[in-house]
Amino acid sequence: MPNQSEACRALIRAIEAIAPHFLIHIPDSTVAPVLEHFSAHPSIASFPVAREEEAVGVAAGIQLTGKRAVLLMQDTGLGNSLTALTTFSQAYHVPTLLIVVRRGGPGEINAAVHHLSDGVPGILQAAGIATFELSLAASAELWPRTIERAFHHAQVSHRPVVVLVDLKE
Amino acid sequence: MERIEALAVIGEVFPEDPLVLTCGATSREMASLGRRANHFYVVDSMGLVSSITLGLALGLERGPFRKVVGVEGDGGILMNLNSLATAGYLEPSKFLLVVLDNEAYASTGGQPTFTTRLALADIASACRLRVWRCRQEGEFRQALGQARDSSGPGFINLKISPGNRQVPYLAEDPAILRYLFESYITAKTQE
Ligand SMILES: Cc1ncc(C[n+]2csc(CCOP(=O)(O)OP(=O)(O)O)c2C)c(N)n1
Ligand SMILES: [Mg+2]
Repeated sequence: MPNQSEACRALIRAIEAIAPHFLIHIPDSTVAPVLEHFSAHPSIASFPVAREEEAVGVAAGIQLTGKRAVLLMQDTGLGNSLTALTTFSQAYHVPTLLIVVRRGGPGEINAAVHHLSDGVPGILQAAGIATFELSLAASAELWPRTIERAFHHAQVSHRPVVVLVDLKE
Repeated sequence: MERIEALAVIGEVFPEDPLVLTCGATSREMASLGRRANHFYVVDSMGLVSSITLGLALGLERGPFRKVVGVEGDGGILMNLNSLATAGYLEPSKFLLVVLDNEAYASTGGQPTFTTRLALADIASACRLRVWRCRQEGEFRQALGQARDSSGPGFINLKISPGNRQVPYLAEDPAILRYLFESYITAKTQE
């Protein structure tokens, strides 16, 4: 995958392939083109929530009605969602796909976010949340394939599943 | 009213619509009145009931139910006030949140909450929810009936007395609680 905008197009393809009823998001600058694409989509209703924890609860409620929701957020918001992910989505066995954009690491310009972002894989592991990872090193075909597999894994395992996507060039 | 009396009234007015019950004494006391397939017990995840209810209301916008009702405590909604803003922004027509406001964290020993000094109904109203403020059973029944029969997101604040009934804990695996409730929703939406 040569660059960020191609990764955004791969994310769009992946989400359209999953075809959820709802895309719930908290904005992130790197995936702005993805949010823009879904802002007026014929079959996927996209809407923002104010905070990541809500997103987990709203997605779970939607799932209980037999419909599907995908969450899109950045990893600095993962801390906001952990109580809901563990005590609700995991405890109640509610399938949920979270596409989580990586901050931190080389290429990050904000000195504060490293302190959460760098620990995110470890936090997810400690919480027992299955995690897939994608970066620009992965091919354009691997992105949608991995995200679709993660979605199905969430459904089959009846658990929340996270795909960490790193779009930093 | 006591919490358990308010819960009995909610159960009566909404015998078939989905009810999402918050953690602590609320879920336990409702279950002690008799298990019902349309009741969903959230045994922890304090503050999440309004968001779960919002998700259900979005998913059931065109379903057979008149309302999807979240039953939350004052402490619980104070933990997720932004969910009121989200509900006001998205305007799901079937969303109804009932806050049983005893001005205390009753389940953890009765520590006072902010509602001793401020009104949640004012916050909900600022979030563009239709608001009812109740203190007595008669007003509460009327508010529930009006909310049930009208379209648009609603918020009922009922002042109740503090205290908890001594009733058994909910010991099931939450996965079973979810399975029972989800099966009910599925069956009703396929009818
Ligand atoms: C994240 C989190 N923090 C604290 C608690 C402990 N806790 C359980 S119930 C409760 C009080 C709930 O108060 P309220 O929503 O007003 O309901 P009430 O018991 O008064 O009916 C608290 C603080 C918890 N379950 N989860
Ligand atoms: Mg209380």
